[in-house]
Amino acid sequence: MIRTHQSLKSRSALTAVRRGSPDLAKVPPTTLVDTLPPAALDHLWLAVSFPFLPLEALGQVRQQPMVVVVQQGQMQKVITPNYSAQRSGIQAGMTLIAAQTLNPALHAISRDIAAESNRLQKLALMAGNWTPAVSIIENNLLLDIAGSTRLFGGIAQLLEQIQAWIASEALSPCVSVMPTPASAILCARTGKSLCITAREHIHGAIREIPTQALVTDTKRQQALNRFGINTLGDLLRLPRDGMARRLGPDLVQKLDKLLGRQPDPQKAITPPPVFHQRIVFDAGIANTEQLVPFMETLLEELQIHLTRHHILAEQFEWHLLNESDSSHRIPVYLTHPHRDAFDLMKLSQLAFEKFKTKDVITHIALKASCFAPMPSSSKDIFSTLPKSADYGTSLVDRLQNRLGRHAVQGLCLQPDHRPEKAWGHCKVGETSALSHGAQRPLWLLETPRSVRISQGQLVLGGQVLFLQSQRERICSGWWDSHPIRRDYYHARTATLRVWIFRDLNSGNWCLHGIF
Amino acid sequence: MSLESCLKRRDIWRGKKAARSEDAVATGFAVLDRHLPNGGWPQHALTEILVENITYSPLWLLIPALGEIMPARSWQIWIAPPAIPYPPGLSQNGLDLSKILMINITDQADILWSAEQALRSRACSAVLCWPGRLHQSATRRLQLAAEYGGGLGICFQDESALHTHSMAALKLRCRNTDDGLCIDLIKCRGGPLHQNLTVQHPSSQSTATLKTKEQSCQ
Repeated sequence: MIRTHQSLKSRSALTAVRRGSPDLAKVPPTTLVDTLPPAALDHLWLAVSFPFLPLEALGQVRQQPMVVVVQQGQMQKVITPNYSAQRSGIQAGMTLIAAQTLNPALHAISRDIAAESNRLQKLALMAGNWTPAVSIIENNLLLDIAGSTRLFGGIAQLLEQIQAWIASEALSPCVSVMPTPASAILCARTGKSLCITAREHIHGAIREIPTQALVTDTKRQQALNRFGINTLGDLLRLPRDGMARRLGPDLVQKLDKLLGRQPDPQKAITPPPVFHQRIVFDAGIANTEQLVPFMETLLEELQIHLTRHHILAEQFEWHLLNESDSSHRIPVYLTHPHRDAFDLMKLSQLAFEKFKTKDVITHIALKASCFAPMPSSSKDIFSTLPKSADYGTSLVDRLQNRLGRHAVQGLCLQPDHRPEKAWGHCKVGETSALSHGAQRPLWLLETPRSVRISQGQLVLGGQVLFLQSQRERICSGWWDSHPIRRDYYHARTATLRVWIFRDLNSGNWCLHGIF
Repeated sequence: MSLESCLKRRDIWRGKKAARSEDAVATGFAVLDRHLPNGGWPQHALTEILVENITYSPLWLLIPALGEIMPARSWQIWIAPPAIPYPPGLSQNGLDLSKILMINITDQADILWSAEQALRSRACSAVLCWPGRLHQSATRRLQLAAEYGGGLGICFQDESALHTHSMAALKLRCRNTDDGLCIDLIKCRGGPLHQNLTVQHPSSQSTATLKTKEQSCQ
């Protein structure tokens, strides 16, 4: 049973009308026949495509002619023209120059993929209203609605609700209901608003779709053109083994998934367990110490949230809002993920120590969006004492929260011959294993100190320096902005062992390290 | 107050024999090991080292002990060093860089706070700090923190701290002399105050001295 709520012809007629006026996009589509046998609803997928997603993501749905462009090599190509640009004949795939020739008043903006995926994420979370299994597949939403039809009083009602919602959110979205996920997406992408519930009718529904919709790579597309195959119906008539040999087995798999001959499991997105709660004070608080009970409440709520999601917080931050509406952000860093409210409170207090404000605080909010999965480890029955490693991480946490992350660092070696660049700071507890041949000092001076020469002898702080070992020449770094050409020597005074060098460019002697 | 409770007090000096048998880590220098009580740097305690020039703090004096106690605990913390503790050099001297934590701060209150936290945490085998001038109450706090945490606490100061009262278990003064580094014990809990203990830099036995040639320095 095929329920095409608009034939291909009438669909294109409607599209033409819609192009004339964007408001018409919100008109609910033609009604559908209800009463379906329950057995047919084992697999039912609803796909939504958003033809104007790049424009919507940029918040640029306007009347003036406008296109979204991407840079491809030297050229800028149009990917999404808006209605008024389409009216002047601009199509997706044109170069920007060609489009501007057609309409000199054209406004071009470049694509923002991050904004698009943000928008899709948002829409996907909203679609959770109808089903828990929502996936995002190549800028389309895919909803598994098999389990939801009964709840919403039949497929027609459900589809109507979803269409009303999506039409209010996006510009001329295309909604298609099919028994397999691949066919639902294919139909939605090609602009076919169908509602088909039986597998045996998929073939008839996708027969007319051109092969370009499924075969994207140009080489295979050319091959298909040579064979005289233009639609999926033609493609499905080909013998399987020959198609697998000539066009690759993955195309056969694609077709199988399309028709439901092969399972096609989908990964549903799970909403991120973001925590954001705030407390508003009626009177306002002037002293940060008075915040403590409220912070404790918020942290306890965070702990409950973390326990429920079986996760640990990696980082969280406090937001304080003043009467004058200026907000303060106080991040709390954790070296190791935590969820214990008592520990988090102690770390927060350290982070708050540096915070000073004269204004009255009216809001406090706790935000956590970085999480780590709860490690699953079994405990030793005999161990009762906490390991010293626990002390270590909590110490680093405390130090970093009070002094700042940049103040507490580890040391590492760098693969460079220049003494200044042979080391670096790194994340606490990490290091790189590199071996150094020649002996190096224990102290290095940040800026080399110049060594005086008096009566043919090197003098450091009133003491005569004696050179000890053979020189070590270090000439390196000509490729960047800090080239050095130096001869290094070990030297000693009566009491000190030092590392000095003579700059080969200037001839000056400098003290650089102490053994 | 009974005699027992009196004797339990750590700040009552009862001569060398009565000294609490504390953990100590060998310094790696025979002269020092012989003259320090328990034969080495006192653990569970604060040691103050006074030097003539803070930039030339004799790190080599501590390196053998630092290397020995390093595996026992998670960290060795260096707070506000006067120059860069040079990782290639430290690594060549057998220190594990992944266990070293550098804290670069200038505010003395922060330095003392971090030193106390580190000593108290039981996660540090050693805490080296360069706090500037230390007040008596600060030395007491650090000493108590070290007693609690059990690490090796080292404070480098300049010679202006020679006559200030200190609660550290060991306070010594380093003078550079022609023979080597000359160490005087200023304060030593549980032992006599030896003077003029001369220690040689470990590299001084091996290499021969070459005089600077005039033409090389033009």
